[in-house]
Amino acid sequence: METEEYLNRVIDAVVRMDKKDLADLVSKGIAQGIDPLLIVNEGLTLGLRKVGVLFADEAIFLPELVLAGQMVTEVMESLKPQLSGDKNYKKKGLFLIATVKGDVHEIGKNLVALLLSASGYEVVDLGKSVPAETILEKVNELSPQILGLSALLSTTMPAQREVIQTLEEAGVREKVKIIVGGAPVTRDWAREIGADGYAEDASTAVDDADRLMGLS
Amino acid sequence: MNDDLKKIHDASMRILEKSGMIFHHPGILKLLEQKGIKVSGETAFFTREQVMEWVSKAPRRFRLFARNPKYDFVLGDNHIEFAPGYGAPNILERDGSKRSAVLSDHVQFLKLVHQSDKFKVNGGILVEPSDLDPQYNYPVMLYYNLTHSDKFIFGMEGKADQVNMTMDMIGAVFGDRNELIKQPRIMTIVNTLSPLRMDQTALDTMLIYASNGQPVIITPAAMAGFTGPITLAGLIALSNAETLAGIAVTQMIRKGTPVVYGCQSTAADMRSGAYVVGNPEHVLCLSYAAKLAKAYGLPCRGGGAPSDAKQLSVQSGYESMMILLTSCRENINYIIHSAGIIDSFSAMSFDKFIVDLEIIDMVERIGKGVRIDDETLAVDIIREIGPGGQYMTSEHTVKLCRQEPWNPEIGLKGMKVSKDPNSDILDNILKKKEKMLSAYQQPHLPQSIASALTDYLQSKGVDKSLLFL
Repeated sequence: METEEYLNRVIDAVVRMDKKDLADLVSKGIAQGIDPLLIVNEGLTLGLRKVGVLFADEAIFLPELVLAGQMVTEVMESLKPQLSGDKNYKKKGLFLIATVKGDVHEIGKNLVALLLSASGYEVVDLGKSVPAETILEKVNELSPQILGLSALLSTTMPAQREVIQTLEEAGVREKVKIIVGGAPVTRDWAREIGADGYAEDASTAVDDADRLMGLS
Repeated sequence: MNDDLKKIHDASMRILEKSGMIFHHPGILKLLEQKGIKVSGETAFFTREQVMEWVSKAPRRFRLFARNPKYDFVLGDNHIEFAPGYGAPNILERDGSKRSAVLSDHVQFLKLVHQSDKFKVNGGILVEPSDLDPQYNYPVMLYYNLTHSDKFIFGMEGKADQVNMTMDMIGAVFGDRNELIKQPRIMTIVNTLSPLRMDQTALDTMLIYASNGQPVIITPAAMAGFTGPITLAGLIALSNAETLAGIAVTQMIRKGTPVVYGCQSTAADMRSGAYVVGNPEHVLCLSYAAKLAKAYGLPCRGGGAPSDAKQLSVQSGYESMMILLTSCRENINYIIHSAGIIDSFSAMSFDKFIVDLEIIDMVERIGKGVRIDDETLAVDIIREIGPGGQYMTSEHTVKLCRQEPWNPEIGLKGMKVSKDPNSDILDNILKKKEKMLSAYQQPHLPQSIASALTDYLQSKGVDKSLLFL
């Protein structure tokens, strides 16, 4: 099987969400000596991007998108030993994510984290109801490229602003790009509180992260 | 209880026994343990006997007291009360644009709700004003509620500080805790956090309301496939388990606390993950919830006239009517979101508020049913007019032509057609809204009480400019 045909089959397995086929294909590819980085970049990532496009067209439903994300994450995990020795392999960037203080909703935030990680980001998830001070500490400690702030309630949206202000006061606001999201959050709100990006849903969160990283 | 309801009930009991429910509140967990409920970490496991014994202590019906006694009402049995839209952070304008709601929108809605004879209740979060600090947003909204309406007061779930402020203010107007227990003056929704959790804010609210004898509405809003099973039977059983556990806790806090069985569970849009309300699944959930509540002998809450439409439109009309009609056919006792709410609870629309009043009016007419007696059967009139006659000029028709058939206030009927019927109906909506606002008269609140409230709020750090709009 030619490499191109092989990669197309990997892409196809991701799009069909066929977990078993994908796992078989990947182990077969490794056994045949196909570069694992090629499998990731030209197979898994492209497959997931295709799924993202189909999701945007409403041809794929959210639970299916999540399943594809999970599948790809698992496969990437299994490829870690092969990839860790490759100096060309690097994550797109470090993405710190949290649900803001006072808000215990994290399903949406977890979906975003999953898709980001499946798309090649290193994700550090601080969990739910995270105070601004903790986020500041972690920004200082980990120096992430992007910080994602989630809020599901209109009453906890102001805590997103609070985080941005806390980072400003500490003089580290310019060090990190900030994306906000959550059901009541709008693009106008993101602009008003001085965020760099706005994620309408889990899939666009990845697009916006890529945009902020200059990858799209 | 019929067999289907029994199956759901049994599943709910198994859920509470086997999966348990998480209570993020040390005080409530201690209370549960004191009452002999098995607690492990933050999860409480109820036996079916325990749940149902506590639930049975809740009153079957109770009376709520407004500042003006003409708005007092009873919750329970087959009696229906409507309440307006609740909790939306945005205003949807006629042209489809959306903006953040502000305090003056809340006040505008307070006036409209006060003017409408469809509501004995006013307030709550008619909109969530973006110009108020969330630390004291409800107390400020409550202040305007008290100064702009004398209907029964709808409350809000909040952090302990805020709910205590609410009780202080209610106390300043209506008397101390003993008085409040005798005559409940404020009621709030308390949400569960599906699946099978209640957070600290909800439980603080429940604790303070129930200790003061003020009713709460326990309401899960699980989304099929996301925060509950995708199959409706499982979703209903899960929601039922959450509501019953919440009700049981209210009775542990204070036996006999008035409490309402709520359910707002519905479908999710599988394409986007959004919470949707204008779906047949929502209707089915509220139907079963009402049947279960009635079987348990509890007043119930659910339904309304919500819609997922992004604008006042064909979709907003059919979805709102579908849900409100079902809510009334099921005799849901307290129907929140009966007017104004749109875009899956994310916005209030003044236009839709007026449209929904008309929907309520139609649904009420249907609910009144057909009066069947000698006079209405009109057999004598039918004999008098005879086969092949006409009723148009009969005295019977003339006498009753203004009261028997329902007449629209904004809808277009008849043969008169203008060039732009769509703008005709929009004009009617605007005219009705303006008529209501111009007829609005602020009910009297003694100056001493009003001053006590403003002094109190300022002592809590509320900016004076917010209290004199």
